[in-house]
Amino acid sequence: MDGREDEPLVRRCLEGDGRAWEALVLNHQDRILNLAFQFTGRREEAADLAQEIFVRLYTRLHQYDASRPFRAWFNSLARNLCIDHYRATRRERRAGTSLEGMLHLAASDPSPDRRLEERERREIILAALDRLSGISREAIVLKDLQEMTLEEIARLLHLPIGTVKSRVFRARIELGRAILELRGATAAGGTLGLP
Amino acid sequence: MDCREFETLLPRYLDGALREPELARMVRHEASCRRCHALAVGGMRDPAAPIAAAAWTAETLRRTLGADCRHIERILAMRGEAPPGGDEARRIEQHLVECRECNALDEVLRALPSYYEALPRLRADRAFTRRVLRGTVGRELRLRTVLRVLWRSPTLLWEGALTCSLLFTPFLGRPALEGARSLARQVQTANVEERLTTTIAAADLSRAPLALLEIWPAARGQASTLGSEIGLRVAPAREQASRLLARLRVAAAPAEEAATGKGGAHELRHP
Repeated sequence: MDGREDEPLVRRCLEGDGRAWEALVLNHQDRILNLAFQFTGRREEAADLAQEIFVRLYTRLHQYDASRPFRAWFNSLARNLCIDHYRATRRERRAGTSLEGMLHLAASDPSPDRRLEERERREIILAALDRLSGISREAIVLKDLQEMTLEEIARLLHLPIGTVKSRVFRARIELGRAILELRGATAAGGTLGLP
Repeated sequence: MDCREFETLLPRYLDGALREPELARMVRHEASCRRCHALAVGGMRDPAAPIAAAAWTAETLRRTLGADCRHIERILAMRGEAPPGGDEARRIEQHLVECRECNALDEVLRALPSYYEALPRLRADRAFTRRVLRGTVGRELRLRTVLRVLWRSPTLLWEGALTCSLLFTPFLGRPALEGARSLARQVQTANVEERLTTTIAAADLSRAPLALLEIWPAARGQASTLGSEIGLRVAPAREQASRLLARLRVAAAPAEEAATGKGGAHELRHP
């Protein structure tokens, strides 16, 4: 899917075609939900945020410039909203519990026969991401999970590229250390340090 | 050349692996710096036992690069974007052999993609889609959307205005019609006055009352016709208003369906 097939849908949406809007939502809902989840780490919160993103898209669709690829424009809109939301809720998130999110995810796993090692990896990476500072998590999500280039991140966050680079490498080191620590804890029969 | 560079190159200097121009620079610096000279002499005196040499090299690297582990970590973390080459790559490999912590971190950093792969992939279900549609199409198809549509389309705005005015016809329609008829009578009266004026101008004053009597029934007839015409014009407008109301009802129907969870087609009214 290169995103070009969205543009006729957008045109039809702007002409008032409800089915086109529904098709647009169906095309992007998984991706947006996962983007929201990468930022929030909680299923319910991710669903709320994803819905908010679609509402924002709906109200701003008439601002879309058809000369640009729709997907890129929508991505930018969605990421901006995720970043705003993440920054706004960071403090309460750190004070809250992350175990809830993990239990939800474990329960929602579509493949229960997944290997134990992979499950451990998943739990470790979720716990490690939860331990990251806000700036580091933002950098990991944008660079490694969303696979944006340093230049794109710099544009999105309005930062010099050197600052972005520095944030990315610090974030990876922070994440690596958190994983090492959590692996040590699981090897010692611990509970991943979750509250 | 400064002392840090000298210390970096020292192992190769002692091994005789340096070539010009580095060798000449090393010799010049050693000759000018007592501390580096002592270092070089100490290195030469040191027995070439592998363990001792490795420890010495590690120590030298730490000292020459300052916070060496931090420097190495940075390179390791950005290896994907900026892979080290040549001497730097060799130095890192050597460091990883000697530094257990950096080695462990390197292993995790290399494995990060597999950790990312292990992250769960959420799938939006039908309930989520319905929720989004209800939050967009369903919600705004109500009063706000209708108002926006009317505002953006002059034709619909006219139809909307007409609809609104005709909604009040049971209350205002009759007085308005009476007013129009009264106006028509006044117009007709003006015609009468004109004809009277003509008669008076002809100085046939005796005919004036007769002229008034002749004209008056015709004036009443014209006023009545005008009133009927107004009535005839109102009727199509009323039909038009009914059609617009039907369209608005159709537009509102999907929102109601979405609200009750039935889904189905939506007529999007975009802001």
